[in-house]
This record gives sequence, C-alpha cells and structure tokens, in this order.
Amino acid sequence: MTLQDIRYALRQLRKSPGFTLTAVITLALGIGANTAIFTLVHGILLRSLPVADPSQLYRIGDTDDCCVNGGFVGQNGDFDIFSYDLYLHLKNAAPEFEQLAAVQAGQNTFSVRRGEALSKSLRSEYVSGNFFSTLGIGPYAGRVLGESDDAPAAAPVTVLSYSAWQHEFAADPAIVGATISIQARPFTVIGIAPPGFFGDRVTDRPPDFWMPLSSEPYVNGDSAILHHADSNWLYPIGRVRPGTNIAALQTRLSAALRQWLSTRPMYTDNGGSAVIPKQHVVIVPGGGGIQNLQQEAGQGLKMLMILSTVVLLIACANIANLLLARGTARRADIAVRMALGAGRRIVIRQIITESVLLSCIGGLAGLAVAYGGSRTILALAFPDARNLPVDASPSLAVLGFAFLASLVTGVLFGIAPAWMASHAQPAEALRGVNRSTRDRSSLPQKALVVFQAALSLVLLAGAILMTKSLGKLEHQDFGIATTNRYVLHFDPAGAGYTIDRVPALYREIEDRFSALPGVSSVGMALYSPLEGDNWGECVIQQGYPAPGPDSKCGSTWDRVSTHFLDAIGVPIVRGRGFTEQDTQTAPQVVLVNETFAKKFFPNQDAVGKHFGIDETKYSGSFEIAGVFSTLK
Amino acid sequence: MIELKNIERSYKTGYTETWVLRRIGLTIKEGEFVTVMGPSGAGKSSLLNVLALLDDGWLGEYWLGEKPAHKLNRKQRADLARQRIGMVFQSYHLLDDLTVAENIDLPLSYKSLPAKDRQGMVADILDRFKIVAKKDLFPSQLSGGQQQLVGIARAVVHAPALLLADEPTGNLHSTQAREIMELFCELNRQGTTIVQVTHSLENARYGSRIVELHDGWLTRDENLHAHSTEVGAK
Ligand SMILES: Nc1ncnc2c1ncn2[C@@H]1O[C@H](COP(=O)(O)OP(=O)(O)OP(=O)(O)O)[C@@H](O)[C@H]1O
Ligand SMILES: [Mg+2]
Repeated sequence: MTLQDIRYALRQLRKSPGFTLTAVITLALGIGANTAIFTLVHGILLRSLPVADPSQLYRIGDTDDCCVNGGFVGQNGDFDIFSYDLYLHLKNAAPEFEQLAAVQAGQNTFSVRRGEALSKSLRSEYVSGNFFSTLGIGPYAGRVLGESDDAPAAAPVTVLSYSAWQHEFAADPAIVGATISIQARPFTVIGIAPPGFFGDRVTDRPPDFWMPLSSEPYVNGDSAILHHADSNWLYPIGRVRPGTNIAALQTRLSAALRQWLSTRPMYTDNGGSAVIPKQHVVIVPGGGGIQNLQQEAGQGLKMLMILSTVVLLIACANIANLLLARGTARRADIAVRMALGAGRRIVIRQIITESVLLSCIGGLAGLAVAYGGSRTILALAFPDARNLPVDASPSLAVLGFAFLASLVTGVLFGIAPAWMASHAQPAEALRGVNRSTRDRSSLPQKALVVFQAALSLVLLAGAILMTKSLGKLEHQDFGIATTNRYVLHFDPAGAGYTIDRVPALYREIEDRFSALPGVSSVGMALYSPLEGDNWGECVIQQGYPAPGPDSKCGSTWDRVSTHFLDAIGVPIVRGRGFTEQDTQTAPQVVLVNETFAKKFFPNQDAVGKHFGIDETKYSGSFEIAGVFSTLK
Repeated sequence: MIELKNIERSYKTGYTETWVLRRIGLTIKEGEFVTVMGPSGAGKSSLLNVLALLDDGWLGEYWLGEKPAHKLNRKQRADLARQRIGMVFQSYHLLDDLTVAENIDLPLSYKSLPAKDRQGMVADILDRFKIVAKKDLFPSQLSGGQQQLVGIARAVVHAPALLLADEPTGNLHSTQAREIMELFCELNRQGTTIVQVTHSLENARYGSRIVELHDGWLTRDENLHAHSTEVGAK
C-alpha cells in the first residue's frame, strides 16, 4: 500500500461526500456496536483480578452458590460452599495451597454508622484473616486484616474498600483508627484497601468493607453460623505452590470432603451414606474472578456479540452494494489503469486501500459510539450497581480491537468490488465509457441484496421473539396483586433492636402504617414476594419415614404477619387464614399453598395435617390451618 | 515488430455470432507509422484492442517482437503491454482525481521504478510537451487539446516501443489535431512505432502506411511512400 494509493483514495472519498458520510455512519454504528461489546467482554470476561500473580489462584468449587446451604447439594454431588469447620478440614488436607482463604459466599447489607451521622446500608463480606495476604494485597492506608484479627478473642475490626472510603466517608483519612458501628456494634477501622481492589470476584456490588470470620458471632449473636458445622456459607480460594498437579489435588480434596461428610450425622442419616461416594469438589482457576457477573453477563454478552456481528455484516453488505453501484464510474477508471499497465494485484490493492481507509474512518467514529454504548449497556444491565468493578473506558486492547475490526470490515466489503473490477475486461470497460452503458445491476449486487435482506430478517425475527418473551414476562400472572402495593425494607438489627424488642416494634410499625390516610392494608414478611430470595427446608410429614437424601422434600417458607396474604391479594381456598389468636404461645399453625397440599397430601384434605422439619421426632411441629392459592 | 496471422474476433449476442475481425494478416515493421482507416463499425477499435493486449477474446497468432502473445495468459500479456506499449484514447481517459503530473506518472508507478527516477522522467516529459506550468492542475482545468497532450505524454513517458492511438484527434479541432500529428511524427522519427486509427485522410498523410478495414476484412494496405497494394477481399 503506497502513500499515493491512500492519497488517491482520500480524494475519491472527498469527491462523493454523500456516499462517504453514509458509509462512515453505517460503519461507525456497526464497528462501534462491536467495539462496545468487546469493551465489556474485555472488562468482564477476559480480565484478571487486580491481585498479585492471579494465575496461581485456585478456588475450591466451580459454581456460585449463594448464601447459606445445608445438606447435600443437587444431583451431581458437586460441593461449592462449605462450613467453617469443613473449610478448616480441607485446608489441613491440602498443603499444596501455600495459603487458603475463606470468603463469605453471600454478602450482607449492613447498617453502618459513624458517630451521630445517619446510618448507611453498605455491603459487607466476612473473610478469613489470611484473605489479603493470600491475594497479595497490601493496605492503601493503615493495615489490612491479618491472622491475629481472625481469632475468637480478637477485637472487632474492619477494612474499608477504597471506593467506600471515597464515597461513603468523604475520603477522610481520620477514619483509620476510628470506631464505626456495624449493625449497632462497634468496630475499629484498621485500614483502607488499595484503589481498584474489589475482592476476589467481579460482582455488580462489590463489598464496601471486609470483616474477619471471627466477628460473625459478634454481629449475629444467637443466629451465628460460624460454628454451625453443617451450615455451608464459605468458599475457599487459595494460592497453590508452583508445579502443583491440580487434578491430583482435586481428587485428594474430594476424598477429604467425603471423609469429613461421613463423620456428620446430617449427611449419614436417612440413607445419606449411600450418596456420599459421589460427593466431590471441582478446583477452578480463581484468578479471573470467575463469578456471578461473568456467568450472568457471559450469556447476554454472547447474544449481544452475535447480534452485533450480524449488524456489522449487514453494514458490510450494504456498503459493498453501494460501492458496486458506484462501479460504473469506477470501472472506467480501473479500465484506464489496466490499459496503462496496472496488474490485477495493483487494482485490488487500490480498491481495498479505499475500503479499508473508509472503514478506518468509520472505526474511528465507532470508538465514540463504543464509548457511549458500553456505558449505556452497563447502565441498562446493572441498573442498581454501585461502583461496578468493570472498566468501560477505552484501553489499548479496545483500540486494537476496533482497528482490527475496521481492517477486517474494510477487506470484507471491499473484496467483492475489488474482485469484480479486477476481472473486468479492460477493452469492454473502455468501450463502455464512450458509449451508453447498459446499467443493469450485476449478479453479485443482487446476491448482496438477498444476503442483506436475509440477515435483516433474522435480526428482525430475533427482535420480535425477544420483545414477545419480554412482554410475556411483564404480563405474567404471579398470583398476587401488585397494583398500588409498595414494599419497604426494615433492618431492626442494624438499628440495634434485639430479638425481644422486635415484636413490639413490628406491632407499632403495622399500627402506625395502617393509621396513615390512604393505606388500606399492611402486611409484613421476612421476604417479600418476587424478591427472589427465601429460606428452604426439607418437609417431614407426620406418620411417614424420614425422607432420604434424594427425595424431593424441599419447600420454601416465609414468616409473615396476620394480614400479609390480604395485603398482597392472595385468597385462602380452604381452611382459615391467620388470626390475632395465632400468637407465640398458641399451637404452631402454618398456611400452605395448593401446590404444597397437592404434593405432600395428594387426594386428601391438607387442613389439619401435621409436618415438621430437621428430624422425624419433630414431624408434628406444625399444623396446617389453611390452604392459599399458589403464588410465585 | 508486429506480426498478425489469421486474427479472428467475434461477439456473441444472444444466438447470433457477429464477426468483427476476419482472418487479419498484417506485418508492421519497427519504426513504421501506420494508420488504420475504415467506416464506422468496421472493426478498427477491435483491432487496436487486440494489438494493445487489452482484449483476450481473439483467435490466431500475434507476435509482438519475438514474443508469441497468443500463447500468453492475462498476466503475462499485461506484463508485456506494460513494457512495450503506450495507449492514447479518443476521449483522453485522464483520471479526474489525479493532477497532470500524477496522471503522467501512472504508467511509471506500475513499473516499480524508484520514485526518484520517476520524478525525473515525468519532469522530462512535462518539459518536452511544454506543459510544466500545468503539472499541478486537474484534467477538468484543461482544454481538450491540452488534455490529449497530457494523454499522449502519459502514453510515451515510459518510452514504449509501440504507441497505439484510437482516434486521438477525434474530439479536437483541426489546429490542435495538426499539433498532435506533428508530435506523433516527432516521436516516430525518434524510433517509436505508431499505429493510429483515424477517419481523417489529412491525419493519415502524416503516417507512412494506411490499412483499411471493411466489415472486419482487411481490404487495403497502402504504403504512402511507394505504390499502393490492393488486398483482394474474398
Ligand atoms: N462488446 C461487443 N459486443 C457486441 N458487439 C460488439 C462489441 N464490441 C464491438 N462490437 C461490434 O463490433 C463491430 C466493430 O466495432 P468496433 O468498435 O471495432 O468498430 P470501429 O471500426 O472502431 O467503429 P468506429 O469508427 O465507430 O469507432 C461493430 O459492429 C460493433 O457493433
Ligand atoms: Mg472505434
């Protein structure tokens, strides 16, 4: 490619500003969309953690289970989260890990207050004392957590993330060493993590502060799970020694897991021993921060990637067609060049230079589109993300991608016109200049139009299908009334309420809200419907043997106030609803939905039946008082 | 220089095949200045396109110097044409987006010559054709005669052994035509073999030989400096 080619191509583009503008805008959108998606792919899927030597990090457990689990998991026996005891057991069994830290799988939102200021809802994460040293992260200010902070008698301390320090504490350096209140309990801020560090996983809401595991009982009191050996809520991530055979390590850790499970009645009882042999762990690289976001975003990004590629292909076909349509004038030009000695290669080079130049200009404009586009997509995809650890600013890789995309695009839409031109008979073309030319559209031109139309149709069909399924989701019947209903979240524990003061508080909230003009009904629940979160238990029916480990005894439950079902517009279909008489001291009654009644008491009246949880001897704990219509 | 034996060319239009060149046999020696004449549609341009190696659809034997053009493929023909042939067109065919100097440089740029040499050659030609002042103008800024001057300059800048011109003065008035013809004579004196197509007998007289085509047949071959020869049409 010579300077002359480029100069000539530039003149050509300047000569037909209408065509050039159309092409550049089309290309800017096409390349811009692809670059925007790549920015996100690069920022989310291809990035590695901002920690020391991320390639050495491995995680025990390959999928993201959230929060707290009990008992066996799923059908395939793949363990992903572990209790504190089990974590310690695995840690002892795997000296290949130079260090092995434990991280809380589900984060909490806690009330944090400094002095007399209003409390803030911030994300917290419990981590083992060696968390920071495992990742190789030092402090930005003060110090980070150490082993000695994660000990039963240690003073309660916390480390703030840099962004929380900036945004929540006005970057006040005096915060280090100060005491703040977390869930109404005093903690000392010992340090601030470095900027850009968001933990070991990429999520849309990274933790604002980290607390040692040992402080979990201090915060949660009686309901603490740190020493509850059957509550699984931690995932281990660690740094292996160089040269470690990961497959062998995985085999040995799986054996260690089974050995530990076989010592626990929770897993051995009721025929559980039979499924212990298939329980195992999978070790995966931890350096990518392979987590929720990547798994969730991966699917969507792939879809977007396909869509944007199709859009770019349509743009290519479109421009190739425009180029071919201009071909009559160009043909004469090229015929003259060939008559003057230009070989096929030179002609192709000239045309490709022109199209690549065009696509590079388009790509340059596309960078602006990509910059805005990636931000928009992030804002749409994670509407309530705060300080998302995804960098959507153009990096060298993104620039490189845009350049490469432009190059490929230019060659792609230049190749058909170039091929056509180079195979023209110059004598024919020269004749055409003197005489009137038959201006019928050529076969490639028609083919391009068909190709374009087909791709557009695919795109359109996809869009219609997506809109339809979105519409279905939107108008789905969840079995509850949502119009004029509002949901409020309270965190009494964060405000320092103890369990004994909570019933009075709830009564007062209910009374005061009911008294407000315009409020017709108030109900309270541990989890509101559609929140996507719930507790689950295995149901043990009275008079039946205890269900085995593979039985489908699971049911979710929610704790609600007397008028809750009224408030969400769900009718009782059999029996009765809750009344004011169903107090703490009265017999324990429950309401079940129709699905539950059908599943556990087929062809019978569920009302009046009993069931329990945990163990057979408790199977008479709850009496079914009524059945309500199923809601989702 | 040129030897044609039994050159045939036809165009298929639909089911009919029209013959535009019929068993042409012609020998042109080095240094000749040949004029091709004949009525419109006789096949003059077709013949010139064969000579220029721009056309591939003919049959027969065509020797250009010692090279058998009929045995060469497209690329080899293009290479041969690039080395030996310069072409002047009736409607000039200058590239609108290139300046006069760049237009003239075009054939050189396809010959992978060092940029420095090319500049020198272009400067020489501009000088010889007395168009130095116009070198940075675009074709649209020139008169028809000036454009054809540039067209000829472009055709001869790489000093081709054979100069082909298809009605080079067709679009010019007579004074300009005369200047162009004198330029051809000058080039011919310096050793360039010239084949031109023209309708004007006056222009033909600048040459040394006239061949005439009728319906694709070569009907007359007259040496202007000797007695004329009739080639019998069968
Ligand atoms: N591409 C083509 N397809 C069909 N017929 C063609 C084609 N090119 C030329 N012809 C025919 O070949 C014949 C000779 O054409 P050619 O252009 O060689 O004539 P010419 O002698 O140069 O005429 P003029 O003096 O008008 O330029 C004409 O009858 C023309 O119709
Ligand atoms: Mg002609």
